[in-house]
Amino acid sequence: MTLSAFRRADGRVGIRNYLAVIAATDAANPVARRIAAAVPGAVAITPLYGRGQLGADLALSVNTMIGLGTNPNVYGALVVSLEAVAGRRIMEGIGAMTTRCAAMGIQEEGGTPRLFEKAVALLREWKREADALARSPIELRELVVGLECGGSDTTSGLVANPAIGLFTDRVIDEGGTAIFSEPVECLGGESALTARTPDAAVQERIRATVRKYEEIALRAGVDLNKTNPAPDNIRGGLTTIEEKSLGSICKAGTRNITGVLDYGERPASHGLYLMDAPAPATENMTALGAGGAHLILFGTGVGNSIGCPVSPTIKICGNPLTCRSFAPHIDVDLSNVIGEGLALSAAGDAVTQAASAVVNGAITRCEALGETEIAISRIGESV
Amino acid sequence: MSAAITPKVWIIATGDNVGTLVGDAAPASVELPIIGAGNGGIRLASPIPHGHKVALRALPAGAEVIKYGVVIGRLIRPVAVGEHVHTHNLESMRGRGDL
Repeated sequence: MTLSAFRRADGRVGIRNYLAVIAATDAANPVARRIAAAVPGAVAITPLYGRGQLGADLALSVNTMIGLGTNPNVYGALVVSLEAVAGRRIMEGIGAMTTRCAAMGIQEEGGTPRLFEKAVALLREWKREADALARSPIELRELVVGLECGGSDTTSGLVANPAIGLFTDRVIDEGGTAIFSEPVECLGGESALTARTPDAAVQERIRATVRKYEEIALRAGVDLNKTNPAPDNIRGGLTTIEEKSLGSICKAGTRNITGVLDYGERPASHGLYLMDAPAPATENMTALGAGGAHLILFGTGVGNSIGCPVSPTIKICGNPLTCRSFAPHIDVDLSNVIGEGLALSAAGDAVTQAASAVVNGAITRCEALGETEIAISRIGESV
Repeated sequence: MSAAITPKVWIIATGDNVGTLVGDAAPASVELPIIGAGNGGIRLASPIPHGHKVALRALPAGAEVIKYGVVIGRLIRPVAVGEHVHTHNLESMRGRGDL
């Protein structure tokens, strides 16, 4: 596996040179989208809210936007906001970690038409610089791989996720880093996960992280299974959260679990991590992208089209029906495992090849179609 | 599902009491090959859609359903060998704030 990427001044590597246009307050979302659409290689990061937030909820939003803006795939980050202070707070958080960073306020610029012109001119300048950069060889151990699944069915746990798990094992064996999340989709699989660390503190943190999500349903007095598995999962043959979980955790392979990360937290060392974040794909990948994932391997069964704007997202599917009917969204077609008895090890090799190609610059379906979005979790109310 | 894919029942782990039907929707009464952690064949008691579960043996109401070698829920009514196992007869034991 020969890999290449862009080496940053601080030694990190990026597999893309995205220009992130981050709207720090939702009033700036429309102009942020127009700016991103006007400059090739620019991606819009347009969360909702951003005003009237306080305490831990505000901190989570700000830190997630900073995390997305400092993802190593981002060459430059432009923060736009209604008034300049909210944007400057994000810009200062991003600081020198990202090669280029600037902030603009709609009020300070005298409205969006002028802000748009100024922003596009700046981003074109950044793009000129980024286009002059060359890739250099990197090692697999320098990468952080995010693991996701969505639109799951029973084939996800038979084919796509186990094939991703083979790649995850390879990443860990070569000293790299992988992050799986969706802790609600560990319900029923806790003992299989805690058996993968000798550290009692890590075992307890895994159990507590999974329990946190089960308790949300218990406290609400409702059956979690009426929400997850979702209707498309049930149509695809999944019946209970336990069954969905056991298929989901196949993505995390078989190696030891190093630790548990908070929402959007960057791993401090190499290894395999569980991240505490809600499972819905857009929301979960936002946390993975903020946590520094260079790329995301996304297993699907009945099909899911969404990807992360800062972490190229590779859709991997083992359902032959979906690979045909949902072809515009599938990067890795593993239908031969069910169709023709292709060995799972060969499916794992196909995932490895696809991941290498995307690291080296091959464009994913999500990137080509623009199917990327973010959703930052809210843990408090606006006032 | 393409007619090219022969229906079969995939058992994930030894000790599982359900398998997953993959391939074309199969009619009842035709013996389907078992793949994965099992061998031989099984006849469906009723047609089962692609990706859905089939009972590998008769099980009473209240029995734990095992897949991946792990409990994935319990039966709310008895099932016969070859019967479809899904939301109509299998319920979760986790996240049940409604109980």
